[in-house]
Amino acid sequence: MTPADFCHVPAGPFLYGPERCFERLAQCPPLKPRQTMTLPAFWLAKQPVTYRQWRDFLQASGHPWRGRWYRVVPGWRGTFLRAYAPCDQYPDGHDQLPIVDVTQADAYAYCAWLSQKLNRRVTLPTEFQWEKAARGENGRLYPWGNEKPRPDIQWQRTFPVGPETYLFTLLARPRREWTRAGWYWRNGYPLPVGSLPQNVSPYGCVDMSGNIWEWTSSLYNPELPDFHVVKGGSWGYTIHHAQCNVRSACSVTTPSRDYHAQGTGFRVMIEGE
Amino acid sequence: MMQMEQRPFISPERLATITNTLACWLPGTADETAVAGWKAADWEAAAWVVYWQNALPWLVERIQQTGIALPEPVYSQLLQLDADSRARTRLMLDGCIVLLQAFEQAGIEAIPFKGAALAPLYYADPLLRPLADLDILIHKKDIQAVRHIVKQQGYYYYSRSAEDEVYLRGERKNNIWAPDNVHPVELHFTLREEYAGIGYNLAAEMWAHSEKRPFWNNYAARVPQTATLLHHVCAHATSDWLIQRGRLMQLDDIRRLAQQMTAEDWETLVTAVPAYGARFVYPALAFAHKYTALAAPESVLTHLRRQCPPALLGWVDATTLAEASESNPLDRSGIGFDLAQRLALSRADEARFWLRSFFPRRWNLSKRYPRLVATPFWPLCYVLLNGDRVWHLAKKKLS
Repeated sequence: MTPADFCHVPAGPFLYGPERCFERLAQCPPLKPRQTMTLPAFWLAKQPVTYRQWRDFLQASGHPWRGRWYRVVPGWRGTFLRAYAPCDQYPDGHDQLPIVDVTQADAYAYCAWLSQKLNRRVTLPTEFQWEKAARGENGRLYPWGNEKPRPDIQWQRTFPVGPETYLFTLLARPRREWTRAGWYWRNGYPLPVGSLPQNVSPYGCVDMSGNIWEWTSSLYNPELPDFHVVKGGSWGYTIHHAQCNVRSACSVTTPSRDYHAQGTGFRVMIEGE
Repeated sequence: MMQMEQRPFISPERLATITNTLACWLPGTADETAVAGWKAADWEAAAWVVYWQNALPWLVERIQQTGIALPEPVYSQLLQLDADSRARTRLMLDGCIVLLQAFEQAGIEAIPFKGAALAPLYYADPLLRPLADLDILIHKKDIQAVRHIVKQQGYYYYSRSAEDEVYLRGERKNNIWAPDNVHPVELHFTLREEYAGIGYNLAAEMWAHSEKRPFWNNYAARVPQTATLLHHVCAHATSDWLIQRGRLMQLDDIRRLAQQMTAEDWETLVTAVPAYGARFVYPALAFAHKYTALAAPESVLTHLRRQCPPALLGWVDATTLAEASESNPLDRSGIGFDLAQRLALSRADEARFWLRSFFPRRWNLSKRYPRLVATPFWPLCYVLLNGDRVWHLAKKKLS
C-alpha cells in the first residue's frame, strides 16, 4: 500500500445521519439525528485491505493471526453447500478479495506496521470519517446516490437475518445482473475489491456499501468499552444494512479485539492534509 | 494522546495490577509508594480505568492531595476530563431539582437515589461524584403524569423495561462525561436487582424509610435514609460486580455511606436484610472492606456472611476488582450460569433462573420487539425469541 492508494477527504462540513441501527440490542445507545458535522481533512484507503496485502503484512511482521483464510468454492459444492469456506493455505487467485476474519486488534497491528512502512500515522477511521468518505457532503444514502439497490428484495426483514432470508436463498437463484451494490447478498461470498464500478464514493473510495463490514475506531455504545462500530454491511447481511448511515456492532458479547468473522474486514486511514 | 475508545496497549496483567493498586491507593489504604514507579503508559492506563469506573475526579483529587507529578499530556487531559465530569454533575443535579419540583407541584411522590442522592448528601464536594444518569423512584400509578412532566422538561422517551422507563435529553457524545452528553432519567417503579429470576426488590423499603432533607441548592427533597440507601447501593453494586462491571466509584460510595452510619443505622440495616437478601448485600460490603478502611462493624459483616451461599463466598474472597470490572479483558458472554450457581440458595432459585432465561419479563423484551410487546399478542415474543436462539445455535453448529 502506498500513499497513492488513499483518497483525500477534504476538511469541512457534511451531512451525517440519521443513524440507523437494525439490531435491537439492549446495549444500543440513543441514535444521533441527521445533522451537519465538521471534520478535519483525512485520507482514507481507496479499498479495504486485500488478501495479498494481508499476506505481505503477515510475512513481514510475523503477526500471530488467529483468523483463517477463506476461499470461494466453485462448482456444485459452492452452489449447494458452502460458497465461502475456510482453508489452511493462502488460496490462489484470491489476491484482490478483501481480507476478512480479522479482529479489530489485528487491524490495529496492520496499522502499526503500515505506519512504520509509510512513516505516517495510519489508523482506523472513526465512524464519522467513514461515513463522510462514503456519502460525501450531501447526505446521500449510498455511495452512488439515493437509489436503492435490489428493489426486488427490499421486503427483507431488517432484524434479524432469519429463516425467511435463508428460505428465499433456496427458492430463488442469485441474480447478480440486477444489482448495484446488492451483489453482497446471496452470492455467499465477498467479491474482489472494486468489482462494481457503481459502488464508488464521491471521493473515490470503492466498496463502501456492501461486500464486507469494516471496522472503525468508534465505540458502539460510549458507555461500554470494548465493542466497536462496523460500517457498510456485508455479503451475509440484509439489503438494508448496506445503507451508509447504518451503524452496527459485530457483537456486544465478544469484544472487538477477539471478534473475527468471515464478513468483517477493514480499511485504513491517515489523518491530516 | 489518551484514547478512551481503546483498551490500553499494555498487558492484561499490568492493567490488572494498575486497577487493583488504584483500588487501594485512591481510598488511602496504600500510600504514594504504590504508584511512585508508574511510567506515562501506566498513568494512561490508570486514566482509562478511572474513566470507565466512574472515578476520574477521585483520581485527580488524590493526585492533587499527594502532590504526585504526572507526565504530560496525561495530566492536562485528566484535568480536562475532571472539569467535564464536574460540570456534568452540576447540570444533572440542577436538572434533578427541576424535575423534583415539577413532580412535587403535581402532587407526585418521588425519591432520587443512587448517584442523585449520594452526590449532594454524602460527598463533601458533590461534584466529586460523577453522574451518568438520574435515578428516580416513583409509584407506578403516577407514570402517566410523570411521562407528561418529563416530556414538558424536554426529555424524550428512550426505552422501557420491567423495572423502569428511561427518558433522555440531548444527544449522545463520545465523551460520556461531557456536560452536554445525553442526560438520561431513569424512572423506576420497582427497585429490583435481578439476575434472570433471582432477584431482590427494595422499593417498599425505600418508600417506607425516606424523609425530606436539604438536597441541593437549598431545595429539600424526599431522600432515602442512610441505612436504606446503603442497602440499595450494596445490592446494586453486587449485581455489577457479579457481571464483571464492578467500579471504583462503588467503593467510594459504600465507604462514604458507611462513614455516616450510626450504630442504630447498622442495626436497621441488619434487620432490613432478610436471609435471602444477604447474598445481594454482603459481596459489595466485602469488596469495599477489602480495599478501603470500611467503617462497618465486624459483627454486621459476620452476620451477613453467614447467610450467603458458600460458592458466592468463595468467589468474593478470591476475586479482585480487576477481575470483576471492565479491566478484565475476558469475554463476558456465558457467565450467566456460573453466576446463577453462585447466587442460588436452592433448586427453586436455579429453576427460576432457567425460567427467566427463556421467558424474560414482558417489558424486558421491549427493545427487541418494541411493537409486538405492546399488544395483547405479546407472548408471541417468547416464540420469536427462543426460535431465533435455536436458529442461531443451529447456524453456529453448522458452520
